[in-house]
Amino acid sequence: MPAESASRNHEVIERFLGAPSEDSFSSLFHLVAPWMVGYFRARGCDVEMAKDLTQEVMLSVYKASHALRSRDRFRPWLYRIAQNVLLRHFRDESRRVPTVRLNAEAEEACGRPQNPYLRSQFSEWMASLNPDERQIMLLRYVDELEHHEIAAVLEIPIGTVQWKIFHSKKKLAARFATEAT
Amino acid sequence: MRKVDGTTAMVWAALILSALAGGVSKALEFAQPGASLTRFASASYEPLYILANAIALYFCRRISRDHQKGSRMRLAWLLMAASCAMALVRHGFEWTTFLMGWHQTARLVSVVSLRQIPTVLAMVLLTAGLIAMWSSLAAIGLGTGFRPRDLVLPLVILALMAAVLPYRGELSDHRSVYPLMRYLQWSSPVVLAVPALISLGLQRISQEMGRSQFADFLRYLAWSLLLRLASLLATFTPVLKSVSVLAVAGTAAFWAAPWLFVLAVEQRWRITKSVSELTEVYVRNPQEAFAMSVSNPHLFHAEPPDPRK
Amino acid sequence: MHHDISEQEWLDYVSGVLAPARAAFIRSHAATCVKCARTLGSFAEWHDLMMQEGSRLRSALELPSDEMESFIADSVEAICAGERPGSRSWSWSVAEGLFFMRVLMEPICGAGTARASIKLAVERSTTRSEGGLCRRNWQLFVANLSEVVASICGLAAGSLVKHAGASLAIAGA
Repeated sequence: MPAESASRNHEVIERFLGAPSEDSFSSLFHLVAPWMVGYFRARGCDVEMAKDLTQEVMLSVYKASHALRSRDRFRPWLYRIAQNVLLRHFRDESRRVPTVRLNAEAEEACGRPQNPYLRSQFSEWMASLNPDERQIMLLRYVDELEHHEIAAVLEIPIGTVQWKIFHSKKKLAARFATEAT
Repeated sequence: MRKVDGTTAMVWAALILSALAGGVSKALEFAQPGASLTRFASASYEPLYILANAIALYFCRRISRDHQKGSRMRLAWLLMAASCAMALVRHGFEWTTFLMGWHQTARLVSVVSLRQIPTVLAMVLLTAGLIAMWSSLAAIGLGTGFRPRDLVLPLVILALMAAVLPYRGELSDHRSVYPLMRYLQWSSPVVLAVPALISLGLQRISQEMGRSQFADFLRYLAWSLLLRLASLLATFTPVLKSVSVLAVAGTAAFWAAPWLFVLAVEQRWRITKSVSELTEVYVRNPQEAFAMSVSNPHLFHAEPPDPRK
Repeated sequence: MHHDISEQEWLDYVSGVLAPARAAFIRSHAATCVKCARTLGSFAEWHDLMMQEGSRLRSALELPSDEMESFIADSVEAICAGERPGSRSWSWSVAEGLFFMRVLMEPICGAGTARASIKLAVERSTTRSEGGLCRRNWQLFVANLSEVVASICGLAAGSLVKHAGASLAIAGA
């Protein structure tokens, strides 16, 4: 993230944490909503579900954020809430209906607009990684979290995050090499 | 929290070092049987047992204070503390008699054999403590439903005990001049097997509990007692004793066993430490504690509330 | 590790977060070592490719600005209408309160123990006429639950349950 926009983001977060009001919450929502919608859509949710889950996350932020004093802890804390909300959603879904793997063809057949993630090159690459590696790669390259933020979100050592990224690189490099030949 | 994790690391280090030392001492017995260095090395488990039991006693006492007076859990921990104290007496006595050279004299079958009293008492107190713990867990409905396959391991242990009982004559104090000491020595495999069997029940309860710090404590406890039983069998059964690899492994396990018990009680103590820290946060600032809980990754393990209710 | 440069350092270097002194060392080393230059090249290329593709995906996943504006406006209104921002009180349904207590207890004593303890505490705290847990008997439930937890995991754990449960404001009659 460029330094200028990072600094603007910090100001918005700081303003809400320091003096919560409807106005500062609205600014925060403007900042955070695209992150959250993108987060959920990149993990297979359709637009409406992504919006619902984003609302759920922001409600938790609204209720509990006055306990946070440091803006540096805000992003990992936000993404952990998002992770929990998503996991709960997937568990509820698997209980209500038989688990159906979301795929682009099914979406098209139902006349729903395709999730761009499913048709993306990134999604194809991620298919060759295991779930832990995929999660870290998504957090790093789509959600643009730094290594230490990913470590805080997933509650793993920063060395593990770096190692898994390195391991993913090796796997993908091998895949690229195969495709090239 | 960092301080507690360091303690766990130290206990693990002590366990591994003890196992290595045990293996080396047994290997020396095969390489240089009868040498004075070998004799000294073989008896060197005593100070390690003293240290392990002293640490376990400390934790058991502190944990007992974390339970209400008159409660079954408090009684359980006090009994386990008493068991550790008895073990301290036994190993302290044995180490002293070894250093005084009594193990090479006729006193081995007289005064030294009196060690059977604290040995058996320690096991009896431990058994009583485990029973009290089980009854406390049963009071909330845990450990009351066992499946047929849960009986497999206990039956295996009983069968093993039946197979090795004829070899009780190999145990050190079977030649004691005191009939009571001989009798106590002969009963030692049984006295060791009983807490191991009870710990299997506690291990089953840990599965009912589900993944948690308390379940980890019960698992370590069970493994420490099973390891102790297995190592005793390995050290006095002639067939196993004669196979050097098995004898070395058995001795390593014997030396490591008390440290696994220390690990178990330390794991339980960590619960008290960590919840005390979180309680302080709740007292100081409930909202901050709530925010910590909302972002708790364990959130997804619990089932969400049914919106229909 | 290769030429005293770990994989983590290569990653940090191409991400631009490595300490300046170390970054300067890697830069100067790569200028003279063919193997490391190749390694750096491959890391940088891969990192740029991932960043590019991630950026493209992010753009593709964005909602149209008018849709996003309308969603944000509706959401902020709905959330803020419920409570004042920074409010120190919130209300929970009984189901949410139980869910929270289980979340709190599970890492300590496990899901099985949490379920059994809650069940026992509910039995002790409710009468037939009440028809189950509600706001009126919540504090009694918390006291009973704290006692049950303390009998297994100790007074400290019981105290945590008591403080956490008491801090929840249960909605309803």
